[in-house]
Amino acid sequence: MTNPETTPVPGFGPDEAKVKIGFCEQLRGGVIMDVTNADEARVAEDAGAAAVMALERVPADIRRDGGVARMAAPEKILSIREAVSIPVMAKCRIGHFAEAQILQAIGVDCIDESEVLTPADEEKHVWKRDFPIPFVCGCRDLGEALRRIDEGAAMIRTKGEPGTGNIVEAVRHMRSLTSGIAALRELDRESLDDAAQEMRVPRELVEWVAAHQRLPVPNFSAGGIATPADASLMMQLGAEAVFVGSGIFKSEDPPAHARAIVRAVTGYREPELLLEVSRGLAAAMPGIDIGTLTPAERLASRGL
Amino acid sequence: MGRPRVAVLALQGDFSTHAAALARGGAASPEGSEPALDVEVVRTAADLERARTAHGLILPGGESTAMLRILELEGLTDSFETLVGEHVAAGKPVLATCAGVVLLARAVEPPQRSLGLLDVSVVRNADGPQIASGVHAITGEAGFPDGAGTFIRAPRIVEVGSRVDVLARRERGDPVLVRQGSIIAATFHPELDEDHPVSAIFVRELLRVAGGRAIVSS
Repeated sequence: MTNPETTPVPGFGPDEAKVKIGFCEQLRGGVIMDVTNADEARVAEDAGAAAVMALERVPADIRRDGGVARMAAPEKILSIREAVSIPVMAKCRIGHFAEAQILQAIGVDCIDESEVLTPADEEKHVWKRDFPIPFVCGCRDLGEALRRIDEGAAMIRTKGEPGTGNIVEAVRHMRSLTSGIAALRELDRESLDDAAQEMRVPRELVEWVAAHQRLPVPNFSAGGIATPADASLMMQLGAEAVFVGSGIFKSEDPPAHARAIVRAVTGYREPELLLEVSRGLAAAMPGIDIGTLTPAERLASRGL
Repeated sequence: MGRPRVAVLALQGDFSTHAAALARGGAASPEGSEPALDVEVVRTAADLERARTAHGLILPGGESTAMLRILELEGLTDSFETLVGEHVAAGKPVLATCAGVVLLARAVEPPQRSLGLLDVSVVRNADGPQIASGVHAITGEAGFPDGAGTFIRAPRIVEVGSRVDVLARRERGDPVLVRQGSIIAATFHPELDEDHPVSAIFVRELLRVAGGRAIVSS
C-alpha cells in the first residue's frame, strides 16, 4: 500500500522529501515573522513565532526606498541567528543562485527565493534541487506553484502584495490556487497532459495534485497580512501557516501585534478568541490601495 | 465502548502529519474504508478538557518555544501539564517526537520550561542548522529493530535516568528512541515515514488501553 503522505513527491528523492518537506511541516500552524535585527528577532520569538525571516529592510521600507533590494548582509543574518533558537530564514533574489549559496553557507535553515527583492534573472528561477536545504517560493496560481516545486521548492507561499498591509492580493492568489487544484479533479488523462503542458511542468506532478487534491508541499500565505483578522482569513481560506512581513514591525505596538497574530493563527476558527486578541490593539500598519500602484510597483507579479 | 480516541497537540507543528500517520499506521480498517480510531486536535481549553478522556496523546514536532509561548498566551499551561500528567499516571500511551521530547524532558539546554515527566536531559537543536538534518541509521535495543529515522533540527538526549529504557541509538551512540512507562519518545520523526515501527508500537499500546476493539491491519 502506498502512503499518500510520503509517496515520493515527483522530482524529490524519498530522503530528500522527508528532510526538506519534513522541515516545512514543522512550521505548520505557525507565524514566520520578518525581522531586521536581533532585537526584533527576540520580540518575534518571545511572541511565539515559529521562525523568523532575516531581512535588511521590511517590504514596506523596500517599497518606500526603491533602488535594488538584495540579500541581507551576512553579519545581519548571523546576529539574528545568535539571538534566537527558532529557525532562521533569509531571502535571495529570484534566480540569484550565488546569493542562495552564500545563505546556505551562513547556515540559514531555509531560503526564500523572493519577489520582494529585485529579481536577478528574468527567465530562470534558482534550480533549487541543487541545494540540500529547503526553499520556499511564492505563487499566484497553480502553474506557478508547480513550476517552483518542479525546480525543488519544498514549501509554497501564495503571494500577497508585500508591504501594502492590503490582503486583497493574498486572497486572490489563494483562491486561484485552490480553484486550480479543484479544476484538475474532473480531468481525464489527455486533459491532464494538456494542463501539464500549459503549466510547463511534468505530467506526474499534475497527476499527483489531481489525485491528492492538494500541493505535495505545505502551502503558507504571505504578503499583505496586517491584522489578526487577516491572518485568520488566510488560514480559513486554506493557508497552513502565515508569513507576516511589515505587518508586525510597522504596527504601533509590535510585541502586542506579534502576540495577537500568533494567537489568531492558532485559534483561527474561534471568533471569540479573534475578538479578544483584536481588542485594545494599537493601530495596524498603514495600508496602500493596490489600485494606486503602477505595474512596476506590484511586486507579486515578479517571477514566472 | 467507543472507538479509540487519540488527542494530538495542534498548537503548532507537524500535527497533521501525525494524524495521517495514525490513519494508516495500523489504524485503518482492513477495507481501508473508515479509520478504526478517532484523531482529535487539541488547541483550546475545551479541547484540552475533552482530551482528558482520550486513550492516547501525541506531542508532535514543531518549535517547542512557540508551543510553550502559545500555551502561556492562552493561559493553558496548567491545564496542559495536568492533561499530560494524568495520561502518564493512568498508563495511557503518550507519543512524543522531536519538540514533544523537549516538552516532556526533565532538563533542557538552553534552559526552558518542561514537564519533567521523562527522565532525560536534552540539548535543543543540538546538531545546528537545517543543513545538518538528515535521515540516519538507528540501531535498535531491547527488541526494537534496526532501521532509520528522519532527524530535523533534532534535540539530542545527553543523559538518561535509571527508569528510562533506550530502544534505539544513532551510530554515534546517543539515544534517539526511549521509553519510560507509557511514554514513547523519539528525537526523530517516525510520522514522516511510510510505516515506522514506532507508529505501530504506539497504535498497539493505544488499542490495548482502549480495550482492543479496533482491528489492526497488517
